[in-house]
Amino acid sequence: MKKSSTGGNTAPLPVALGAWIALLFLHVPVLIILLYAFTTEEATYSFPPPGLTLRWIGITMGRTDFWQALQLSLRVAGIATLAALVLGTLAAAAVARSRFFGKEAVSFLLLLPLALPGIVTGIALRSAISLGNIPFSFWTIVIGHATFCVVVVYNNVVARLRRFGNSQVEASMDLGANGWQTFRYVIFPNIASALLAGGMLAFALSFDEVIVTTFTAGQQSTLPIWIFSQLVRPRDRPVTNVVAIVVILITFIPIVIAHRLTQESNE
Amino acid sequence: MAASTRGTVLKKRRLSLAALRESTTAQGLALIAPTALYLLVFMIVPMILVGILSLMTRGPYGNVVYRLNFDNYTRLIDPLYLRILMYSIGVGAATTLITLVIGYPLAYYIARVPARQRNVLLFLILVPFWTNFIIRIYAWIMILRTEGLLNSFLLNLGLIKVPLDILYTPTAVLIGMVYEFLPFMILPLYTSLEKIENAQLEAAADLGARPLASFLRITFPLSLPGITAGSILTFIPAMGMFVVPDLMGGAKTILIGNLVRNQFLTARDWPFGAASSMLLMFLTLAMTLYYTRKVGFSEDLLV
Repeated sequence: MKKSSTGGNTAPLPVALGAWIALLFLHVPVLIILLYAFTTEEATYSFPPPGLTLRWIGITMGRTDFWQALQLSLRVAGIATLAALVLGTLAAAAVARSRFFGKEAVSFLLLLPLALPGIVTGIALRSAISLGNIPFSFWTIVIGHATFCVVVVYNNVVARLRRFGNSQVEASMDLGANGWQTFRYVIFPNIASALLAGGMLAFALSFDEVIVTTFTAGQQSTLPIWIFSQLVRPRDRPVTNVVAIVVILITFIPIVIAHRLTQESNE
Repeated sequence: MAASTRGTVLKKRRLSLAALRESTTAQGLALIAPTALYLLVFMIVPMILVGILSLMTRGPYGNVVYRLNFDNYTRLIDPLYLRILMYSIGVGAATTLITLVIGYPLAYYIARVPARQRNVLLFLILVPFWTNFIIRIYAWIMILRTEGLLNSFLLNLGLIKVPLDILYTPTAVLIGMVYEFLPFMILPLYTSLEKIENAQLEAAADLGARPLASFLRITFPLSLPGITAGSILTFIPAMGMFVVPDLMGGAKTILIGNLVRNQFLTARDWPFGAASSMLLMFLTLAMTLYYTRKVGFSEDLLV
């Protein structure tokens, strides 16, 4: 934003060429998924597609396994996000506002679920679930997702709290507001957009998750797990493409909103 | 009257500030307690369980016998498993290197274009970053299958006579890995390249440095934190990845992630699976700690 590009510092031609090749490499496969959601072939794909049709959308909409998976994914992401909003905000308030023993350890602990490969946390939860004789359920999926959703909310809120400083909170306390009033009328309006952005990212992260879910879901399928199973035992291939588009859209809407919110508050 | 009110307010103010400062520790602990407890119960305790499991013995029916035993760890040095470990490190390193080579020019280019174009390009980077990774694997399966798009395209053009068998080979695994992790490399690279001030490059040019010299002596060294961050964000998940080898390597390529998963879900040797998982965890933690010591944790890495 701060740079105005002056002639000499733009990338030289070979670099620009390499950049565009990399961009094509990133995007062509995703575009292919979009295109083949409308192909008239149903088993094997040829390039270019022999014809285009909208009928796969209708077939997808008629499949109950799709709706069940979508519903499960949305419910899991919703509850995991709610838990993350509460836990992430509390942790951010603690770390930004106060000094306490073990603060460093806590920031590290918060980061752990994102820093470790999904298989490590997934296996750990799986072991705990089995050793505790806990049946797989909606809640075992939610618990796994919330562990890594917390840190996204935490990150957004802690950055905002650091930026708006302590003076307003002190002023509010001085004027006799109690803790709840201070939170409701001073802190909350200041962090609302950070909460929303963090919540949106947490939702997208949960909606998208595959690896931890494979260890905590048992027989239920979230939408990405449903796609996973379609890759192993395909049935009506283009339906998988239609569902893939649904997943991309549902992930993207919150991401774009979160992006807007963070940009607005930075300006 | 007015003066005494003012005095009381000031006194109250001083008192409340002191109280605020004193209560800050208690308050902090009260605020952190629910989150700390949550992560303790659902992260730390399960990991400790894995640690304990890794020291137990596999029973005859795939059950866990609670008898202390270090064999699971010594087994990891067995040539068979050592090879899997080395292979995982190799695939992780190759993935990191290739994503760096492909990603650097793109990140550099985005950091140098005018602001309006830059936002569009950044958005274009975020699309694959946030596209579900199973979907991205699926795209490559569609492309690389024997009767897939690449072969049908090349056959139609007459460039090849027999379809190429790329899927279910180590090459396919590498293509899948590079595609999965490229966005994770580009974003931190871009973040560090974007921070470089134009003035520094102009100064170098004024002092007679050729573009290549100013790249090697200014841009590249200043982008090292981004390279380190991108490499860690690529290497760690690439090493633990089991889905790409499964779906694109046809279960012929076994990485440490596959080993852990197989021991838990198919071989039912939980103690050995747990030991492998501990190894993966320690490797990861060592690298993360090294990185946070060396470069410092940057929050913009996460999103």
